[in-house]
Amino acid sequence: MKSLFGNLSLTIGGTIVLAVILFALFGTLVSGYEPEQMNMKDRFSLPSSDHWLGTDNFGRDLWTRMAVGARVSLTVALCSVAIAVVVGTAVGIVSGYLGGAFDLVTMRIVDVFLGFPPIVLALAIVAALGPGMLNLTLSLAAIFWTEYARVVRSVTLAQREADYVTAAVAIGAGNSRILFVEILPNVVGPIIVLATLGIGTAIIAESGLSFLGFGIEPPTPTWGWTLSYGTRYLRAEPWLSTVAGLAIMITVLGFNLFGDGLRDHLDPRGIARRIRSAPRQ
Amino acid sequence: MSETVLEGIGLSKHFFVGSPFSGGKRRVRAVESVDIAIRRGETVGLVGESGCGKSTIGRLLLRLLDPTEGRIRLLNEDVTGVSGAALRQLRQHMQIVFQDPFASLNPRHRVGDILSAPFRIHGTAPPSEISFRVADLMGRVGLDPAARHKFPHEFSGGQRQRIGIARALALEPDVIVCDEPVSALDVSVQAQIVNLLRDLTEQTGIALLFISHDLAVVENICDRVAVMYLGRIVEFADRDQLFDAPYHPYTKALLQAVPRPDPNQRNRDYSRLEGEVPSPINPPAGCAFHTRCPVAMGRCKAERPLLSDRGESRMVACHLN
Repeated sequence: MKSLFGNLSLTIGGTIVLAVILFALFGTLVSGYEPEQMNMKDRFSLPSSDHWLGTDNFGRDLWTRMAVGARVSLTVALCSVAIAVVVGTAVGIVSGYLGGAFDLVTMRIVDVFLGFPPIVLALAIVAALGPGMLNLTLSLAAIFWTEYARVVRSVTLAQREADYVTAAVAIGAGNSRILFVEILPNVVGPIIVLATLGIGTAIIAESGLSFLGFGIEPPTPTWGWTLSYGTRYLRAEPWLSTVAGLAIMITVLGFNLFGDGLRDHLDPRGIARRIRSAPRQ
Repeated sequence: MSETVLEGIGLSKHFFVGSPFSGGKRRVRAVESVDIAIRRGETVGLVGESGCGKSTIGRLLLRLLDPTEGRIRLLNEDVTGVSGAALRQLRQHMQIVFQDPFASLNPRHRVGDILSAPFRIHGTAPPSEISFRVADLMGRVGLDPAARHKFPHEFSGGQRQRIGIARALALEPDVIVCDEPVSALDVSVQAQIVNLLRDLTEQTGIALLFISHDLAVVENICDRVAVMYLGRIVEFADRDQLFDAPYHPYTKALLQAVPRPDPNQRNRDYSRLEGEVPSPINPPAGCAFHTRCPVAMGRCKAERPLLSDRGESRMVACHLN
């Protein structure tokens, strides 16, 4: 445990992540306002003892709205990364172990997904499926799964040749046992690290899509949409967009620091780092 | 003569390296026309220098690699074409112990899980008995059964090799291929593992194929010894005959190269072989050893000597009489 706290980015990142999660869970309870409760007298107020983060153009309490936005952002990010991890790991581990035609076909499918700029691909999917939280989550999962598939495949390729896998074959283990009992536990380390870093990317992507109006529709107070409509008043009242932008920035920073720290802690040899820093497109 | 448990007949294994873009695929002849038979209860040594195809033969016999040519017989049945579930059933009869005790155990599994896997896969013990059987196995290889909850990295190299041996014993096989089981260990630990293997074979009657490049260890444990050079067996004889009166020039050279811990012989002339092992991609015509053989004749360059019976259960592949 001592080394866990000796790792500065893990400590700071972990604190931020924990704070954001607590904010999402309990933020609306402590503010005393409803997210849609308007008060036209108090429009564009700065932080005060009444409104901890100020108010927006309708005088709605920003603290409350940011807390609801945190809930949306975290839910979408966690669900999309979870789907991407499960799909990507399953495809990657089978592809890496079986090789041959299956590997060839799945990796070309991955290449097709990687051929599109990620945000454009997500926009196209959301445009086809329509807006909404579920569709947004699915479209983000569709752009993230390729990364996990590639990393898991490359780790599996290395593990496949290890003596302990040959030993399992020699004992008479079937393919499913070799894949999921022998190899999978040795793939989990890099995946945990990548997934933590991926949550930050997912929050950015979700905010970006909501900013563009392709994400979750108003009146749900997402961070991206708050940032977007804040820009209409940016010259006179810059506070609104600043709060939303800071919320996104701090949260993503927290997850990235946490992921970096976790990587140094779990994976001192830097397997995940080398794979991640390889050019994506 | 007792029953043959595992036999390779005319085994060849060719690997293909290179791509069509780098001058086409080239054929590596790792193993060429090898006949080898292991009888019940005996220990057969397989020696030769690095890259001569020893390990490949072990894996071919265990059906971990598919032979390019030749047949494999297990308990007098041809198992060359068996695959899938039937092959997994056959694996109960033949097991393997690896060279590297650090790579051969899954780092994420506890020893108890590693040793109970064979019972779970084949159902050879009821679930209620597995824990008892694991403890019994650990006791037989000299490990404390209380250590079953530890991970492999908590053990020393010698202890890990004991775990590997226990795993191979779990299914009560007829034959175990030991692929350089002691060459990654300290000398003092080597002796313990060799003694353990010898005791176990004496108690259980399990046959061993003992692959090694260490002639001293082979002399200690084996009943018969096969010497390999560049994918072929060049001499196959009973241990005492091979070590007392080696026949093939390559066997002689190998035995002369064994270091003797005798201070009175410190100036002994180690007659070394000249040159390098030829490439198995392009092996020499005739006898593969003629490029380095001190007594090569004209005939050796043109005609490949066949492994022939020289009496007293000795087979040699050499034109010299």
